[in-house]
Amino acid sequence: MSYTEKELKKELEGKSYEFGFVTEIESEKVPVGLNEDIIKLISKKKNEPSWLLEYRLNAFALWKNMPKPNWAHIDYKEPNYQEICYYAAPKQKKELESLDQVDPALLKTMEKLGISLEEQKRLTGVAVDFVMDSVSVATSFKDKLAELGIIFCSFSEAVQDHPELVKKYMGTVVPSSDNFYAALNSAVFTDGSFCYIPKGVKCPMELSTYFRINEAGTGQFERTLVIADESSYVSYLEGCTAPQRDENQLHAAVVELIALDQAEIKYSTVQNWYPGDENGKGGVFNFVTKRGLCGYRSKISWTQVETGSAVTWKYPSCILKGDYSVGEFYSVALTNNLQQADTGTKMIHVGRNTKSTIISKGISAGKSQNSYRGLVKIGKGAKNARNFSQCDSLLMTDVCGAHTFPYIECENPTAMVEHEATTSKIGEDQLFYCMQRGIPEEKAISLIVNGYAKEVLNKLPMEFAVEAQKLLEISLEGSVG
Amino acid sequence: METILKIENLHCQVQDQEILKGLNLEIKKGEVHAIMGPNGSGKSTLSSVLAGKEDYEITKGKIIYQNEDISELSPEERSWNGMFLAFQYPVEIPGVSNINFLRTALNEKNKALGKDQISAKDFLKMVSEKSALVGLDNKLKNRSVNEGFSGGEKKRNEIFQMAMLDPTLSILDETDSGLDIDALKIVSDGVNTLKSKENATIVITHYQRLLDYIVPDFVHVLYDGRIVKSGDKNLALELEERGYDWLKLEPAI
Amino acid sequence: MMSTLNLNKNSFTVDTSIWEAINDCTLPDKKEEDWRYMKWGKLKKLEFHGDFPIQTENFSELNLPKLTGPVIVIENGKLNEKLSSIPNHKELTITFENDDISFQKSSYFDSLNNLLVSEYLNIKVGENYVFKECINIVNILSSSNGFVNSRIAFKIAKNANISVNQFFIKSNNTSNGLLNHQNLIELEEHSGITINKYQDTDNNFQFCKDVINQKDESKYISNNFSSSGKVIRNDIQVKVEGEHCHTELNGIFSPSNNEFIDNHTLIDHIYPNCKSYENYKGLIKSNGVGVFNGKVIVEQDAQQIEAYQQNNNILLDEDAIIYSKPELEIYADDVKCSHGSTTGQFDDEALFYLRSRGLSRASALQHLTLGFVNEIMDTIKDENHKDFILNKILAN
Repeated sequence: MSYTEKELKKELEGKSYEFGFVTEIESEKVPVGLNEDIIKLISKKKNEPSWLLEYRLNAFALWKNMPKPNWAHIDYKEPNYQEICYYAAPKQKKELESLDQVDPALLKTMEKLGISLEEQKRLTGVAVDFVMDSVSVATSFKDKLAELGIIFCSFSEAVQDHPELVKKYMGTVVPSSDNFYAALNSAVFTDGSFCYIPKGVKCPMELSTYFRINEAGTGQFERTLVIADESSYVSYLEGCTAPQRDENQLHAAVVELIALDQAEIKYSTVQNWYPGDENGKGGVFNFVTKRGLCGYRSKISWTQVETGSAVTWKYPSCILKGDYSVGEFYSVALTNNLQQADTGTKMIHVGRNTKSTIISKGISAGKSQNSYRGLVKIGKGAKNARNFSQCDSLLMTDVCGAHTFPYIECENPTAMVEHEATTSKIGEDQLFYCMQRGIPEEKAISLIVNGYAKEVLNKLPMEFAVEAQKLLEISLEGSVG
Repeated sequence: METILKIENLHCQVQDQEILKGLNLEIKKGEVHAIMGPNGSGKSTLSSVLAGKEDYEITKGKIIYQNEDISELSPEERSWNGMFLAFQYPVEIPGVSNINFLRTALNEKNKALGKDQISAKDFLKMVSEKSALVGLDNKLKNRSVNEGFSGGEKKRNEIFQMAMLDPTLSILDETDSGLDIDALKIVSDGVNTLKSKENATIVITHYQRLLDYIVPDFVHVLYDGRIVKSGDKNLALELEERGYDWLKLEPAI
Repeated sequence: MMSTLNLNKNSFTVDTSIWEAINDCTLPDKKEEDWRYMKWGKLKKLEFHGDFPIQTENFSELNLPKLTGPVIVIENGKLNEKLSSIPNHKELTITFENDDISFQKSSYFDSLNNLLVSEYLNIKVGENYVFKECINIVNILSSSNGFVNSRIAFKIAKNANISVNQFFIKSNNTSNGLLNHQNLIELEEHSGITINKYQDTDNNFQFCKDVINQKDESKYISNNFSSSGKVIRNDIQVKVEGEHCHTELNGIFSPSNNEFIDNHTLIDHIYPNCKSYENYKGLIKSNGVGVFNGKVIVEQDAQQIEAYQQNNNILLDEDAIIYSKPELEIYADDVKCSHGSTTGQFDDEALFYLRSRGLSRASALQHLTLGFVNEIMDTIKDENHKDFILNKILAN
């Protein structure tokens, strides 16, 4: 499989944002603005138990007094939180039993996204939970998973059907007081995904969710909660797209992963939210809090390919609480035009003999600014903790920026922490070599960039890796400096 | 015989320094030309300017390739037209598999020439045929382009790529450097096998050694940016014996 | 909470307007990125006094290596004329006066330094003059609970070059003093300065800021040895405002016994074709805390920059802590920049190897320490000075 195949050529022909289409489905919205009444309305519409409403209202109270984070290397116009619509559900929302019941327009959207459920079901064995504008509209493979005791459903369903699990784990990794955007999400989240893998169960397929902002002026505030019970395993895929819009859309998600003793969670993201046009107009503000908690001998592995969003603020992290737990972060972040990304990870070593690996590959093109920001903290009790970090940056033009801000905090003398970073421009010798062999410059660039990112792309499940390669190629168009 | 390449009074400069100072050369189909010369005489500049490397500015003269002035063509366009440069120092491209790289190159060429894309099956068949030609280790095909290859492996890989792309004009830039005698034989055998009535080869070298294996029809001595002497293969032997100094006294032709 | 140092008003002989200005300044907050690891606690608990006399009568009272070359002694911010031997060259003028140097005040300590220093040391080197000897500048803190502000302005003209050994020490039993010092260095075209800075203020506090402006082809080398101090905060800010400059920052810091040593460096490449090298080694003992925060900025027009930054740390004891933050901010594409940071402990294998050859554990550790700091020690030419520093590093 490779990006050199025919189908890719076709994709190359459509130069601009490929997923920039708006689906016309009737949707039901609550009034714009944010106050307690709106939150109560959302909660009521979703038929939530009172403890959840309370959770929302507490978060809202916290949020009102919270400062916005200002330390990131990004510059943008703060959205007006009172002009956002916090709830938009596609109107047809009766229980769906088969794809026939889905609105044809919606099906078409899915096809355009390349994730037609039928196809996915038949060909790939990927169970998809499709989240469009906040409410999960279709899930598949549920029955098959249910046989193993795996719960994979929308967050709202989980609230109705498995309240004890939601109540027990929600907010334990990312408390609503964590930061400005996490608090906002905790107050107004509309839906998301929920996944529970029972003890000793290895989930036999990749679980996948597609997020997509569709409605104009709506923010997407989804929550994901993945619980891998003792000695279980799950690989979870998350893809994000948003249609093309002139105004900035806000996306403030919270993802919590809980890997209990000896469990393993692999969480992969391919993010191509609309980045805005070449003049920096429009695009998604992506302010996301992602964090995992590791129990004894457990492992959490984050892999992300980030090509989208006007502004990205995102640090998928691991709290390595259990002894011998392992945290990994593999990232490719590509920025073009006027995009800004401030992304990285936090590896918090608490338990003994904990280990973390960070591989970050930044690619800056156009006039974009791309920052790696990462914390490696070795706590007092984290005996024999190990970390290795490698952060490389590739510069494609002389007007973009590549920055590296690692924070290494080591409070235990038995720890070993290594950080390396390099910054360089794309090799002219490499380009000439490719061109001499008949590969045109743009293709050569994408070939070299894909090679540079290989270490991370290899960590993605096959289906996703191919898509990620395509995305890099598309995102690099017109970036030749 | 038909002329493939005609270089007329070529002047070329790199970073404001004139390296080639009026070079003339004509190559016909089926011929092998050796270009020899001391360090700094302009040998590598000649190969770079033929392949169209940026920063190599033609200030005077012409390069006529297959009846067309190619001065304004990009490196890839020259490549599509059948020009191949085997690099003195093949470049490493981390993370890009050798095989994928070649397939991209081949398909780009086919596309440019309006031909169909090669099928995966045909491609793999071709790969196994051509790699046998230079005894390229199977493992190397799947590794990243030239990354971690030994000097000899890199040169074999160059000839393998040459075989895959089937060029009309091959320029071998110091292909013998860094090769032991066994590798030299294998590489030369490869080049000789690929030789036909329809293509031509330029062998750029410092030493006569390579020319025992790839026997040239013509030998040219490049000195101070000009060809100062041309002859048959015996000229190479003479150079081996006498060095280059005696030529400096002779007037340029 | 806005806070200030607790200064005893009556002990400072300054105008009311200056006093008001001082009171308007507030200490940086821990939330400020540049001060996030700062330990203010110890400092805020104390009351500081102003204006102290010169007391040191001879060098035997001070812990110093053998000094060769001219010696200038600044005690509690004032010139100690008795102990100073100021050279008298046409091309090398050293004065103690107010020379109206202006500089950018970016922190609390900058502002207070500006308000409280009236006279300071000026070192001017004339065009083409290369001073072969090393100039020794000894800054003594001899006032317990004293708040001392001092400054040195270096002006190095075209093609001139000097070397300086700068000592920051305390006399005998001085404790809880606070030294707020600034080095302002201007390097003209093709000039150079090497500063070996040695900080051993023990039970006292020190805030030291170096501001350097480099013109074309100039060379700035800073070797910074911080062996002891309750709190030491070093800020080195280099603005490279010319092409083909060489900037080199080396350091060894070895906090122990609850000490806090914080190194902040900034190299700002504004012009193309420059090289900068940075190499800091932290040797953290007992419950010492070390900080390294190095930042390299390569501005958009600064093409063809090579910038390398390295910080290696060894944590020797149970409660030792290091915060390392090497930063790169790159806005130009044709650059070669890299940085690295490692934190760990001495290799057990190596320790075992040395001991199996008959070395005691202590001696083996000393050898490994020597090995660890060697590449930076090698930058020191003066053998006396080198031995002195090594002893300090190995002693603690």
